[in-house]
Amino acid sequence: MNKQTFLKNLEKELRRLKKSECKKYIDYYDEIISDIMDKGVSEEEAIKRQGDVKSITDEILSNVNPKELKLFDLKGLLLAILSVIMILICAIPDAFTNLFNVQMNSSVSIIGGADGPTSIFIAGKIGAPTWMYVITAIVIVLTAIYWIKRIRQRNRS
Amino acid sequence: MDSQLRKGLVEYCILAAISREDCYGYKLIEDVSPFMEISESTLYPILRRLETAGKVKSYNTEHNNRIRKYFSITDTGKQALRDFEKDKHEIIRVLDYITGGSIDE
Repeated sequence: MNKQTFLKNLEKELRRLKKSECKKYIDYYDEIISDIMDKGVSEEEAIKRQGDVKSITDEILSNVNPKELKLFDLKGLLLAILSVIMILICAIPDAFTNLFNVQMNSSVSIIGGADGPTSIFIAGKIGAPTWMYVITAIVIVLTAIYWIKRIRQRNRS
Repeated sequence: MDSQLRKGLVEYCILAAISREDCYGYKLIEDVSPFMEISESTLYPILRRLETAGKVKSYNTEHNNRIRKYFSITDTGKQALRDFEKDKHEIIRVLDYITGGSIDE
């Protein structure tokens, strides 16, 4: 493993930290490894001396000040956005689900097509398909679990 | 050495090394390791703690076309060392008590 790979791995393991905090650790190890190499130690050996990246980062993260952690991470943010979108789709059937219903209930529409306005009325009444509600519920639960875990972790550390 | 005791002492070792001359990370490891075992991964948290507490401050200089971070002691840091000096006799007394007086001063 060369220095670049070592620092890359370090950065990857420290992605929970704020960018500026992460950079401090990277700079520190960059400097130390360079200094060891200046003493005539090989790159390979200098890195071996640091030990395993995972144990370094585990130690850093277990003693981390909560202020140094990112408030939002990509996963949590995406989950939150996804659940909001899903709730909107379920809550405002007219605006969103008609889009789905055109496809989902196309057979209904065709059969009922002869009846004219009635079919449209029925299609509109159905609202979001049941599986949408189920998935929305699952996404909300997942998001809640994720954030509760995260906030607990922050408070503990 | 017991890890709790070590933790407290090593911090003063680092501070003392910095008080003698401005130091960068690797030099601190070289200076302190004859007295106490210290690794790269244990040094950094200590430096951060000292810096946050205002006992040391850091500045960057260029060395071989790269940045080297030096640490220098502040007045607060000097005071902390003086306080430790004052506690020295008390610490020795406690050590004596713990070991039943088998430690020679």
